[in-house]
Amino acid sequence: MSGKNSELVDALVNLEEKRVLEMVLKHLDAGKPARKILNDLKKGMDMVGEKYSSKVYFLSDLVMAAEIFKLAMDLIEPKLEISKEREMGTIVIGTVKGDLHDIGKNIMVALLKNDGFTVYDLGTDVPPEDFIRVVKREKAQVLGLSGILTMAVEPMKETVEVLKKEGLRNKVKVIIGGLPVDEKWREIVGADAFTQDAYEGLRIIKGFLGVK
Amino acid sequence: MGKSTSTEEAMTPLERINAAMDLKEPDRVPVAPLLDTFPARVAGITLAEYLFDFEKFEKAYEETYLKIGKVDMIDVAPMGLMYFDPFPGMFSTFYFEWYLPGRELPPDRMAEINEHSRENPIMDENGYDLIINEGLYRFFNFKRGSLLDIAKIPEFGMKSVMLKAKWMEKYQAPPMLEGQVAAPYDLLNKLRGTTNFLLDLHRRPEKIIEACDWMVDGLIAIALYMIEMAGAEYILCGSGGLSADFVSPKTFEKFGLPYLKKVLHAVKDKVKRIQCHFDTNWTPLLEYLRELPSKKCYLHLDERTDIFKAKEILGDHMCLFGNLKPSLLSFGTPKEVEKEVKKIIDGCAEGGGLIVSAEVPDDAKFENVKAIVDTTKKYGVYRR
Repeated sequence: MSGKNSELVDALVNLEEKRVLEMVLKHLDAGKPARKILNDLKKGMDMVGEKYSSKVYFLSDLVMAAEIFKLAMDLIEPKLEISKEREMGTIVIGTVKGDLHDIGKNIMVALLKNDGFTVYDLGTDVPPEDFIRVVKREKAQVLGLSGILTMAVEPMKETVEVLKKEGLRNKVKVIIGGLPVDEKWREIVGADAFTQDAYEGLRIIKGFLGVK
Repeated sequence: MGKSTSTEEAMTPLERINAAMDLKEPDRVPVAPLLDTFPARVAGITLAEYLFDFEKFEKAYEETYLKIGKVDMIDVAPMGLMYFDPFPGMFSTFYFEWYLPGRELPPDRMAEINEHSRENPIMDENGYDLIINEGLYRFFNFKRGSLLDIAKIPEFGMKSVMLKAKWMEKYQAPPMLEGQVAAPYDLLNKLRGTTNFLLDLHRRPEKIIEACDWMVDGLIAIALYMIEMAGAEYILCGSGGLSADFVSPKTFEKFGLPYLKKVLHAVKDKVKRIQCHFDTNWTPLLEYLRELPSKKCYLHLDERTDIFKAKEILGDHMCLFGNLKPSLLSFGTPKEVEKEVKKIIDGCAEGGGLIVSAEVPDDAKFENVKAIVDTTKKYGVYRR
């Protein structure tokens, strides 16, 4: 990365909530295009991600950055031209039945939205049929199943089986996520990939969809 | 490590545990899986029965204890007791939204805590002031438990004291836990919901400190009272919300360490041992744990923490307890379990200070749990 970052980028990277929101409002008042503000925010989020990967930042910092980003987006979204430059892809995501943990999943959702993906977040304790219904309705390309309880492996597996039964398995990539998931889980569930980390998850999903 | 030939062991479980926790070499490495609700599966009873029916718990636990091969620490009371703690313990259904089998859940579904969405926490951001001004009892509610439940505690308590004595005589194995103590930040974390709490660390850090400062003496008083009432000698302090999976070491140093230290040092002389049940990733924080009471505390780690690093940093300070991966017990094979147990023993047994353990999930395979015990007993013998 070269050159100086804008003040807005720096404020986001430093997790200065008030300053970011003030600056977004100031920029909007001054007539700066929403798209340009959004680019700064994205750049800031990318840098937060780098800090997280290099262990300078931790989960709480990521949660804070995602929160600031969301609040800033609420301000600029009404002024943002809807036309998307490109279709990134559609993802259905949720924490599987019997599990209520959602921090990692929520960060995953924030990162995916930040990158322009269309995300259907079904929340927690989601039964297999609900996942499949939304996957079908929205013609999603990726299904993200989250969970951290050992017993989450069963509903994950069940969801993939329903996907198969519906004849959708070869059309939809499945990624499972959560602190304890590993290759063994992936195998048992019959998913295409697993991740313990939202940023890695983002890279994997981009790989699925062939976008950068 | 060598092979044991005799079936009669040289030490009793209690002697073995004491040696390991005093950082001396026992006859062999102790083994003490946290069986949680696994015995319900072995005995074929429901989780509701296992949690709330003392006699069924006792029978199921003893059956499992004998079937997997006698282990070195033992549970003396069903978990059900802790869910109706009228004091603000981590498992108290009067403070936190625990869903219990046979109550909110079908009798055979595991207890779960609702960690709460952003929008609907038990305590909103003004709650810190409420705690500071009115106390933690502000959040006590009867939504999921009743006075009747609380009234059962003395009976459960008496029975567990008797069971401890009975099993101590029969098996000479010390209890895993008889009481608990909590650090204030972990309770705040549960009241606010993890996401909100992580945001609060950025948005209102001074409020968190103020509330923790206010809460800590009360929590110590509660712990001391419980220890005395129950005659508890082996207690547990669970913590996880400020590990490196969530916050930076600097954040732990400010919001976590001072309170953990204060709480543990305040109770250490009243009990025999304290299980520091520290889940998630503590690897970057191990150095800080040297400030916790040496030998009195033993450190339960799950697989997120590097136990070999822990041996390096804490080997002369506190006994390690862990750290097989729970999912290995559900999805792995006895061969794989054996390999992992040997790895832990090879890396951490030297000089004592190791107890092989794992949190046994509900759906663990019986042969995998047995493999933990068999491998440790065979492979963990110290050469004389």
